[in-house]
Parts: sequence; C-alpha cells; structure tokens
Amino acid sequence: MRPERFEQLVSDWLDQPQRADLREQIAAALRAHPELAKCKTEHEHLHDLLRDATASGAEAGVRWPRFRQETHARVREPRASTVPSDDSLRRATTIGEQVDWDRFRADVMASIGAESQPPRRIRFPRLMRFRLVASAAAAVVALFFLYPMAPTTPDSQQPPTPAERQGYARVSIGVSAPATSASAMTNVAHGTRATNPDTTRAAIARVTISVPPPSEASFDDADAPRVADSRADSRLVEVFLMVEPQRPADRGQGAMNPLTMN
Amino acid sequence: MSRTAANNLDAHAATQTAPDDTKLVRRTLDGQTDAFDELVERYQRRAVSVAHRLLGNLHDAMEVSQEAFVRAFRNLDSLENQNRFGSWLLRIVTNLSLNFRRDRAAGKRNVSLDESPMGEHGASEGRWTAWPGDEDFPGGDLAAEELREIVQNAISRLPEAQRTALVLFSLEQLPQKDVAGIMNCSVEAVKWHVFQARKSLRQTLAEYI
Repeated sequence: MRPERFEQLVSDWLDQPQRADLREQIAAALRAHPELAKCKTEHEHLHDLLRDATASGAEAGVRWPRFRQETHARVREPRASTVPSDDSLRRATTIGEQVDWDRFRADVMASIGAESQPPRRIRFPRLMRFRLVASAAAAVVALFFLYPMAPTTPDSQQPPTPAERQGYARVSIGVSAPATSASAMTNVAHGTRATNPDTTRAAIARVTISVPPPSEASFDDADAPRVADSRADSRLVEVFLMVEPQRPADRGQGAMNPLTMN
Repeated sequence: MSRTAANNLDAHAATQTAPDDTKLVRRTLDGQTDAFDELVERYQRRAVSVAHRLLGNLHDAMEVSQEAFVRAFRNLDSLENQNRFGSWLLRIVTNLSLNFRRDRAAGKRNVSLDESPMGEHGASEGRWTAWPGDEDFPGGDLAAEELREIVQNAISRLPEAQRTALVLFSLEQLPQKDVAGIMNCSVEAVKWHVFQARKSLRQTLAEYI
C-alpha cells in the first residue's frame, strides 16, 4: 500500500472510528508494512492536538446570558429600521427631476434628423477635376521619360565609335567541353583550344582582346588569334572566362549567340 | 430500577419536556419570539465554536454568530425542513465567517477594542468575554494558550475549502451530508479536503505532534 493511500485511510478512520472495515484495512496495511505505524501515530497525535487546541478554552469565559440578551434585542428590532421598505427603495431609485428632459428630447430629435438626411457628397469644380487628371497624366509621362533606364544587356549596348581606342573582343561560345581550369582559360585567351580530357562536356570560350592602333584596326582577321607585339602599340589582354557547361534545359532557349562587336 | 433504565427514563423525560426544533420554529413563525430565544440558547455555543475555529478570533466569532442568529430569525420562513434548524444555522454561520474573513483580508473590516467598556478592575473588558486574569477565565496556562494560538494560526493558513471541511467535519463533527451541503460539494470531496488539510498540518505542526 502506498503511504499516501494509507494516510487517507487513517484520515477517514479518525473521523469515523466506528467503521470496522477501515480499522481492518489499517491493521492489514500495518502487518504488511510495519514502518507505516509511525505515520498512524503522528496522525492520531495531530487529531488530538487539533481538537484540544481549538476546543477554545476562551469560549468558557464567554458571558452567554449577555450574548443571548443582545441577540434577543436585535431580533426584536423593527424590520423597518434595518430593512428598507419598497416605498423607500422606489423613491431612492426614482430619477425625478435629475434629467433635463427638454434637452434630452432635442438631442434625440437631432440624432434622428441626422440619420434621415442624405449623405453629404463632396463636389469638385470642373476646372479642379481637369487639373487633377492632367497632373496625374503628367506625372506618369515624367516617370516614363525621366526614370533611369535599366542596365542594358550586351545585346543592346551601342558599340563604341570606331574613333575611340577600345578593345574589341570577338567571343565565340560553343558547347563542346567545360572549361573548368585556369589553364584552359589561359589557352583560350591565347587563342588555343583547351580541352579537358577528364570531362565529357566542355564549353570553350575563345576570347581574344587586343587594342591595336586605331589605323590598323581591322575586323577581317578577327577569327585569327592575335599575338601580342610588345613593340607595337597593341595590347593583348588575357581574359579568363568562367564558362559553365550549358544545361540541357537551356539549349531549347537557344545557345548564346556569337557576339560581334563592331 | 437499574442505572441504565433510570438514565433512559431521564432521557425520555427530557425529550418530553424540551420541545424539538420543529416546534420551536413553528412557534417562532407564529409570533412567539421567546421560542427563538430557546433556539439561541440551544445553538449559541455551537455557532460561536464554529465561527471561532474558522476565524481564529473570539470577538469576531461572536459578532458573526449574533449576525447569523438575526438573519436566521428574519429568514425563518424560508427554512424548508424545520427539523434541521441547527444545520441551516451553521451554514449561515459558515458563510458569514468566510465572508467576514475575506473582508478582513481585504481591509474592509477592523476589529476595534476601543469600543469595549471599562470593567471594574480598571482594564478594558470584552463585550461578552471576561478579561484574562479573571479567576473564572482558564487563562492561567500560557503554554497551552500559545500552543492554541499556534494551532489556530496553522489552520487559518489552510486553503478555504480545506479549513472549512476540517473545522466542520473533523473538529465540530457535523454529519457528512450537512458539511457537504454547507460546502456545496460531495461527501467524497469533503473527505478529500480533510485529508489534504491533515497532510498539510502534519508538516506544519511536526514539532508539536
């Protein structure tokens, strides 16, 4: 038996000592668990303590005749002096002249009149309406023309004028094998084909950028690799392009077209 | 005649001369207020005892008990079972005691001793009680008085349901059904509250048991 269950059994027995079933259950529990005897003893002492301590010896000093006499006097008091009558309650709750009824009626009628009127409509003069519409249209047009253009793609970028000293790059991109190494890129920059035997696919970006003197600029030999001539006023710029293999999904959208910048 | 038979005869005679609660209630309702005086004398000690155990203060207990008798008199016509005046009265005492305790905790009530008249001995005297030190007052045992105060304080700190169940059922030994009716709960719930109260007091008063 759990100790708490035993305690509850003892508690019930202390309040009903005449119950033999409770007494037998307690005795059986004590035979099985002798250690519970201390718990039973403590509860018995507590029970006696509560009854003795709260038996109130102070009550023995009470002057009961005086108590009864005063109770008798209070009982015989007329109820009207302590219990309000219906008339007094009715008078206490009557509003009477506390309300300005004329003003109340006027406020009620004003509220009713306000609800019955048609809703007020805000009207703009014709000239003001025209001005509002014109202003809105002008704002839209201004946004359209004045808003900075989005960054242009290489396709739409205007080629530099031939008179400017710029580098021209012919970039041909085809899907053959991925260029995944810097060496491959370097070879590409020098115009050689770079292949990575370890990869099954490679995209080779053949990029040659040179800045010849403006008089010798020619686009006919753009396909031929150019070799840097340090003696000439030409610059060979190596460009490393990270080219990713073209995904099959992108093929349908069209491979990158060769860019020819004139 | 044997002693047992004589005792039974005395008891029977007492029963015949003393009217039961039903007759006293009916006579009170008929306008005979002296019948209610007899009810007061019959239940005043019980009422004050219950209130005192619930409130821990004798003065407050007597105020509450007197108020309970007055309310019982004014609402006597609402008593359905006239034979159960005692249980009905103690329900009023319990409710008033709990309300009084809540009001006192909320600061709505103050127990003033200044209203007590001066007694013959030059000291303030209780309205209904004798001053400690009077030869009729069993206040000579200070140790017992201190222990009583300790126990009363421990009971006062119990939750309301546990305190009420312990006082009414365990200490006042009211019938289970009456206590359940006063507390508006089941008999099993009353026993449970008493058990929880004992469990708590066993720890609180461990050094005294």
